Amino acid sequence: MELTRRQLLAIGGAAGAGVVIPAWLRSTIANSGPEFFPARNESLAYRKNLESFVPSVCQECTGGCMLKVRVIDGDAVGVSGHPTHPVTRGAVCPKGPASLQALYHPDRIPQPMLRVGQRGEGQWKFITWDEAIKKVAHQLQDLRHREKPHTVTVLDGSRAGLTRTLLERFAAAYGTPNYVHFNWTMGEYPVDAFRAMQDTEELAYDLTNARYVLSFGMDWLQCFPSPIEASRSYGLIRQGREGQRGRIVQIESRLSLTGGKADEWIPVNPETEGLLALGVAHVILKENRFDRGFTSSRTTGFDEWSRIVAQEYPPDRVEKATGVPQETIIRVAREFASNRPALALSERVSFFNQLAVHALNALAGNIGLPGGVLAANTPEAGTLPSFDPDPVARRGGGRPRVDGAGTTFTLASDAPQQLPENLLAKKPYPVNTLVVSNCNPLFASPNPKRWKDALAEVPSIVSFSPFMDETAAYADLIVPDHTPLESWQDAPSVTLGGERVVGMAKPAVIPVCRTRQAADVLLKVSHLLGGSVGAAFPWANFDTLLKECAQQAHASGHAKPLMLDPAEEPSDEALSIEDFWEVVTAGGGWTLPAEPQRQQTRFNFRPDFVRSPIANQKANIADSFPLRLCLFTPLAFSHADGAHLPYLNSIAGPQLDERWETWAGFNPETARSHGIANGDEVWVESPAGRVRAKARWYQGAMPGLVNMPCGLGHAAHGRWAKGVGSNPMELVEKLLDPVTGQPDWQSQRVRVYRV
Amino acid sequence: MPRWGMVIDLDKCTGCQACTVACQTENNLRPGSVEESQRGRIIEWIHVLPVVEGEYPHVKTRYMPVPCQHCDNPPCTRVCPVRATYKNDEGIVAQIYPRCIGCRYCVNACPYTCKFFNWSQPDWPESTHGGKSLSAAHNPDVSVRPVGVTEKCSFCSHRLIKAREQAKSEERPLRSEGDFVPACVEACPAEAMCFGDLDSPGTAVSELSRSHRAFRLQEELGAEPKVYYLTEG
Repeated sequence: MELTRRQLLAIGGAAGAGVVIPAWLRSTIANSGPEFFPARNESLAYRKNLESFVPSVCQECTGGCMLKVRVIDGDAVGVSGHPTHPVTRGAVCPKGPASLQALYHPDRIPQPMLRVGQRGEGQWKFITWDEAIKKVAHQLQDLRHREKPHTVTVLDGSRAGLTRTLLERFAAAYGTPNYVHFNWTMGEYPVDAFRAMQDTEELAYDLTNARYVLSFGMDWLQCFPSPIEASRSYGLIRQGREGQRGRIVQIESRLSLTGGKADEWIPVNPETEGLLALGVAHVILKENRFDRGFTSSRTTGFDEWSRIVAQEYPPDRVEKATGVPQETIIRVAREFASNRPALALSERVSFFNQLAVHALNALAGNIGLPGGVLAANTPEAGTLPSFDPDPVARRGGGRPRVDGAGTTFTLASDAPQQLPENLLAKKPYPVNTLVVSNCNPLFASPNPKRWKDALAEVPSIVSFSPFMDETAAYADLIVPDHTPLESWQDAPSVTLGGERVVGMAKPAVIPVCRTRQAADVLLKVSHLLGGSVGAAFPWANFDTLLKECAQQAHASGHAKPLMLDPAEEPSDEALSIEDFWEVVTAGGGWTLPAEPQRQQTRFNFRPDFVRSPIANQKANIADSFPLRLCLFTPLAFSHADGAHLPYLNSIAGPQLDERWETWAGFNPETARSHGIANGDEVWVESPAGRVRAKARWYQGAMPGLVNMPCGLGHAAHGRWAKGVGSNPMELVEKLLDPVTGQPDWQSQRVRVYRV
Repeated sequence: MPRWGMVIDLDKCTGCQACTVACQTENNLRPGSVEESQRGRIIEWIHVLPVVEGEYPHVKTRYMPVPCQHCDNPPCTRVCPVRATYKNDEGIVAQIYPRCIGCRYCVNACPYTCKFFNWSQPDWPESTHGGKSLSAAHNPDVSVRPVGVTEKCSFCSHRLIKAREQAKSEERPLRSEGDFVPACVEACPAEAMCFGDLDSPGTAVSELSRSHRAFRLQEELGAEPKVYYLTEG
């Protein structure tokens, strides 16, 4: 069917206003019946200018920050921070206000779409929600009948909250062990070390009270849980306490945003931060500057750990490996041990590095103290009733996981980047259906081509994406989710200091497209599946579940409603449950009393992992690929996402004033020796491929490295992202940590030459 | 009469650019594009200027958010042939878009490069899915600037109008700080920015602007900016 001018206008609106229609949409319209042409409401009713403010949750990263949305006549026209929410306190980061551009993005997926051409070809047709949901349910029911529920894999990047809980619950009730959480390690807490050493992931760096912050490569101003809180803590460390300007030392191979604001930058060879931490530990041990009380009474493995550290990591040896002078190592060790409270931070890098850095916190006795590492138990919005999986589900759920978490990667709970190889090898069994929610593995992965090859082996891919990103473009069925401002939301979080809050919000605006909330689709599908699966989901809609959680909070008597207007105080009178629901959905949720810092389990120094794995690394191929690639994510593109929003594209590279294209940062010496001038177009090449970038001389780059930002270089994802810049993740050959299964982003060798 | 001014603590600023994006949404700034970026025509009313000092490995970066400096002695207003830009009674350097003839004299006269010219019609794409246009997110309190017009930071003067109406409805005078807050100051997660009446004793801005850490950009030019910075350290 040809697209007529009239239909084009019906879709595009303004006559002849140069409406750009993406190719996928053009052909989809051609493939679908006339009933799918969206009718535009052309009535020009006069504006009443009715203004209201409503809470919502920002979902542009996993921070779970609470927003205050300004709505006029049903349109969201402004976003600021929720004024009384303990994490946001009226502030935002740049991603919050930019979420308006996600809501009114011109290239959203308007309603369910079914692939009609070859996979990835961009040939679709619109289908109704009824058809889409029936199709999913039918397919899943069929797999259950064939005793193959375990061959369904759910790949999800959502933050903690009820949507994620429902997806996990669905996997368990339906009968698959394969709920795989898709994470982004840059800026993420070193949760593997937290788990291995303190037996919990629920810890937080109390930056708000620290006096000395020693970061081993964590660009913590852009870190999570919330960049807003990190920024506020920075302000407090600097000017928040009379006469006490905290000291910030940043150890990293590329001078990050945080490094630029630190008092001292210590350049270190990439991926040797752990060795340096152990060098620092060696000095602290040798000079007897550690917290003897803590290490002797509340830790295990200290004697063996300290013996190995004393033996293997003297400063002269560490200097050789890390490139950091001995004197600096000794000085940093003395500063760290004598300025308390002090914090040693790392992000979710290699297991060895995470453990080495986190051990310093125990050595200085900063565990469980304000300004140190605190227990931070994220509250739950509510407790869901237990459910009874049927025998099919129990058998399916008992199968080994397809990502190798817990088996190949002994200490991992999820290992999403191992999926491509296992899918391709059909190991331990073939996967029949992949459900993708809130993540884009075909873009945000080491060498994303691996995923494309692997997905060819999966017969059915269902995507919840509201945007036509790379993964959605490669799906068979898209059941588009709302954007956050159109959704019912919950956001449990805990501040760095341990304040607990459950954010809750109703839709700020009515949906712009004919999309549906993913959680509601999931509920509908499970109801259609019926039996024990349906019984596990006794809620008609997601908001019924939220209301049930609010009822629990109300019954507990501890929940104190948040107020969107800081001048208002929650009333002291006992509210009825209906009133409580009204108040919390209008105010944005409730706070819970802080939990007292419990006696934590004994800190385990993990001496079994303190010997350096560096010696085992694969042979150097320095001759043909002489440079090392270091990737990072600017705040605008945290989680490698955000390039589809033009305001974020404009602020991508604050240090070099770069935007709307991919740049590669070189130390001027390195650039000169390769004959590269500042501003040259260059190819950066690795065995996995090559990408184009604008070379920039940067004094904050170590010699021998190429620094490139992740987030640009989309092959899809709307008009502002597609074809802009290049994706350096395509250069990274897969190298996973053998223990945690997380990718190594900093070890790729590359070469560079002018275009 | 208040004299509105701003203080930005560079020791607290983290360079996150929340101010930039909050301003863009508040004031309906054009979305930007590759082409505009290549020609240096991205418009940001408050731009975070990076300053990289020193050589490897002794490098220091600073981030300096630069909004219109709302000079008491503004070089830009004097060159405007049509009085499209002028300083009002409360010290805000204002811009009257319908009066602007696009000569760009003021753009060139501003020593702080805080005035921006619309070289093309801004593009607020219609939806391709039958939904609302990107312009649905426009703040109705702020007009959209067409091609051929110069624009700049207004200290969110539309918020001043509202704050004054609010005070009047509550039968009280406008407070010298807190009632009228620009979007950038409201957004700042590091609490590095404050805003208020510079002449009113006791306000944070009047105190901090006289602190030993305070300075202004290119003071030697005599433009008398009302944006003060506090040095690091």
